[in-house]
Amino acid sequence: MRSPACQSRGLCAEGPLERLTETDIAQPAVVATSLAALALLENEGAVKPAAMAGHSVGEYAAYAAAGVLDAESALRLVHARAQAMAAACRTVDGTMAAVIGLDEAPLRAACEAVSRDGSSVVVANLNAPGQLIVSGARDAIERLRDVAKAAGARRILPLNVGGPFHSVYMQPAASALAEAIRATVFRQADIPLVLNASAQATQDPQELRHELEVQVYSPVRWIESVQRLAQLGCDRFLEVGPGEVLAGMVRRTLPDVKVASFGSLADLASAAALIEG
Amino acid sequence: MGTDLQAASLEAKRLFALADEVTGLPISRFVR
Repeated sequence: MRSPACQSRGLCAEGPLERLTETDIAQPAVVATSLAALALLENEGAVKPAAMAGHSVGEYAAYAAAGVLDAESALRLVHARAQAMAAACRTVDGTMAAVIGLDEAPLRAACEAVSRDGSSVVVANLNAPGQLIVSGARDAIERLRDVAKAAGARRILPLNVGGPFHSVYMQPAASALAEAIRATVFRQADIPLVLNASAQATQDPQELRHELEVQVYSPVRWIESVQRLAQLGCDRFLEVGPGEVLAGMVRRTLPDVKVASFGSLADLASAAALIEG
Repeated sequence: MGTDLQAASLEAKRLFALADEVTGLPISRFVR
């Protein structure tokens, strides 16, 4: 019998692509890319952020960048998280969807209206004004479609994700992850980190430890997190890692701040310009 | 994502190798 790792190696060498984008591989890949991008950026010159935040699995990269976790511990925990979430996803037919054009309060009310015992949906990611993500049982999200549109949503777009992340359906994953978190050393953060679940800033190792346990089934309060960073004095935002999605969310939330992304060498000049001011 | 980072920085390359080792998954090949 082949080990899971061997199976994955075969799949990565031979495909299919769908397997490669599943959460157990995608999560460590995102964090490794983020840490590698930061290493390259630091190699090019001083990067001294006033504060940091990471979106969802990106919190692990932020913890490593702020000295809370060493790179190996961050990657070990991300691997444990990904495995636990993949296992939780196999127990439910769940997914996520973007809801365009509806505020948090009416969307939350719509989610409550369509949720039933064993089939619920919640507001999972508050990414930017007018860009909220719901997560839950697939049939609950189907029921939400008409109710949310009646409440004023312009569109509901299904997301190609592995399961109902940041919802109650991920609580089993948190329990499985807790043991790995307890076995890991957390240090005081070098700079304030704004946490997904609370949108509060902290450098305290116990609060940082608690966050990683609860964030897996809690909403990502990204709008408030970005606003908190601004309150802490941040007027330039650099997204470090793959893609440019977070930069777009920051621009929508704070139209007047300067924003750039760094995930590949092609972005180096614009990232350097932002850092230099 | 990641291929150019690995080529440009020894530390980036080390981090991807560490991800492979820690997870037992071919992360460095995945991000090509």
